[in-house]
Amino acid sequence: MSGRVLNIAWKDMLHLWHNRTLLILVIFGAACELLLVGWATGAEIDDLKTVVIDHDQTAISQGLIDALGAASALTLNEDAVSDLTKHNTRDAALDDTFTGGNFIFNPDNVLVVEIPAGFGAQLTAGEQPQVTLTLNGANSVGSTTARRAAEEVLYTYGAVVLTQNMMEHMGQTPPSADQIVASLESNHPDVVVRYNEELDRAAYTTPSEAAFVLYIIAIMVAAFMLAREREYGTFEQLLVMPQRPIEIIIGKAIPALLVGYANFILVLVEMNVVFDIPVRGSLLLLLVLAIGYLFVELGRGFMVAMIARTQNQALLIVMLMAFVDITFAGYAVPVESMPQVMQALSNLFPIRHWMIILRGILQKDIGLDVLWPQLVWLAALGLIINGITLWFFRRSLAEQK
Amino acid sequence: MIQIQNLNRHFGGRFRQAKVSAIAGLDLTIQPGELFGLVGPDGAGKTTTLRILAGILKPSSGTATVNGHDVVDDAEAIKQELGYMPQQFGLYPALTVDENLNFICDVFGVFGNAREQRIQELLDFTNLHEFRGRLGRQLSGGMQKKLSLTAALVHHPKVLLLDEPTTGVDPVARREFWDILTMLHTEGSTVIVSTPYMDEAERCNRVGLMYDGQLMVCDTPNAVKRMLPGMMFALRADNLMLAENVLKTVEGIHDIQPYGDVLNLLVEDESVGTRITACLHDAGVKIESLRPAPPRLEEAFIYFVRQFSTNHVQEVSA
Repeated sequence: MSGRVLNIAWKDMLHLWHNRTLLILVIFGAACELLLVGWATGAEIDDLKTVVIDHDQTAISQGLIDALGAASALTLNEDAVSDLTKHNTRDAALDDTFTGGNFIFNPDNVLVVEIPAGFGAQLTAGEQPQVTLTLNGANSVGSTTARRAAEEVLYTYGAVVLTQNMMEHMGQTPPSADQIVASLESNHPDVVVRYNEELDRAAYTTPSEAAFVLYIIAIMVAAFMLAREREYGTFEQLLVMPQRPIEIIIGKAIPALLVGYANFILVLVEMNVVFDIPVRGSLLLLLVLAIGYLFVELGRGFMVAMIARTQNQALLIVMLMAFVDITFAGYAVPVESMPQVMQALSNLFPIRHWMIILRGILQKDIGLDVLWPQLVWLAALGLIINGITLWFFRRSLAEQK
Repeated sequence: MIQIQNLNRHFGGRFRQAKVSAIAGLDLTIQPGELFGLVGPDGAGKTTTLRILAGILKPSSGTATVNGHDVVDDAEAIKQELGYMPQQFGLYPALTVDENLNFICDVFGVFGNAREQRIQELLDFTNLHEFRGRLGRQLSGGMQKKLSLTAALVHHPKVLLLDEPTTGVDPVARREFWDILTMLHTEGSTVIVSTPYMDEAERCNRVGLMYDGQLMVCDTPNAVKRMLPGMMFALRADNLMLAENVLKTVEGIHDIQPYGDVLNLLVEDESVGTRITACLHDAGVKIESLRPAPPRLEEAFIYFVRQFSTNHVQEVSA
């Protein structure tokens, strides 16, 4: 048995070797993509364009503008208001019919802060003036960051003005704004970030990419290798030879496994060297589990090939599957933030469990004592998926058209 | 020995697809060492029959055995004794001739000196030596066919199934192909070959005419020709076009086939000859010669197919 399995594996390796362009693409394409993703998302989020509409025009409102400008995440778009005024008969700053909506449609602007008339007076009187923040939700990460920064400034600034005002009222010499800010900050809670201490975006996205790479490459190679035999009619040749269906499947799995695995190791090295994201847990455990995970996904790759009749069909089906998989893997949006039904559903996707395992070992240094449920899930899914695939395979052999 | 009994195979029939019967009640026995030709119009079920015998398609019902092994229950045993050459190029277009052959040898367990010797021998008589490094897809159609045959022969199969091996091959290569088949036949292999060419069918020691999934006629080429009712006339005349039109109305002529500068006429009996002469004379056609000719398999084939299709139409309308 093993001989014939290796014969098929060797033949498919020859195929890859003859198609050198594809081979290079398959092996290094993913590594290049990882670089792109890492660099593109690695940059810290700052320079968020902020427009301030100051309907108040007092020293106190000007102080708030200065404070906003000093926040590291925000960059004031100072010309926006005067530009708008130029094209209008009314003064955008003074006329309170001008609101955030007049600026936020511009995709450059992430945040508009609208300071109401009477802001300074209300604040000194101890009342609570309403500052309106308009956020550009289309840029969700940017606007979340901008909102947090703006709220912090507003809170601090309000506290400073109030404190100074109060002490003056009581006839005492108020401390400087810096002093008040310093004492406010000393009251902030201690925030301890674990696992990704710098809250580096690349440290979040590149493991996702690594998990994804292993999956997509393996599934593609597996699906293509089998779909090609069907498309070219060489499948008949395989059938008149003395292999059994299981031998054909395993033989075809080996090259896909090797290519997927080579990719994974390349990506792990790249993450360590380029992005400084080392494997904190057991490398051995990670590498062993990766093989297991590959077997699960290869089953799906072959299933695709049994449904598709040509390589093009296989490609389209893999793409479609990948979109769903990416969603449930928590690649873009964390699964924890999905509705309960979706969260439950996500368990049926092997990549979801693989993502947890990969992150767990890579970043949290946790082992099987914690990750065993994922392992059980993967094993169960693997059995079901590969069982169905084998059944499919046998049936289509019997029902050859 | 190959035995097929009441074999049926249909396709479709699920999900409201139309059910198409490819083989309907086929009975056939082929003795060891025969060179058997399977002929019949397109869609008659030739390929389906060969694929069932090769063990890659399951029959819907009925039994088929190859050298005593059942094609369903014992398919694995058959594969070692059987060489199958599909109609389309079934080898890998992205691998070279050598790589393709080595793969097949690997799988059939032909190793070492035996492999080298066998490949040499096969490439010798298929003349593929100089193309050993060429990719499958770079071969011409004829060379692809030869490579397929080579691949089907590496493991010294006792039974060889060839599905239209010479379709799209030039006459010289076709001749070479049949020399190889004849050689295999004389060496004692059982060869079953499906072919659309009647001159090829004539080279088989037995032919089976399939129509609509059944074997209508099955005998030696000579016997099949003798089954033609009536006799053949070969007519040479100055205006063959006119002659053909005139003769279409004459009673007792089953078939008219223009063949170069000759009209081949299949007629009921010798007496029709005088009627032909008279009619042509009346129409002003000058007869150069009209003499009895030996019938060929082609006439027999066309005659039988026409008969079956008329019967078939009558059956359907009734």
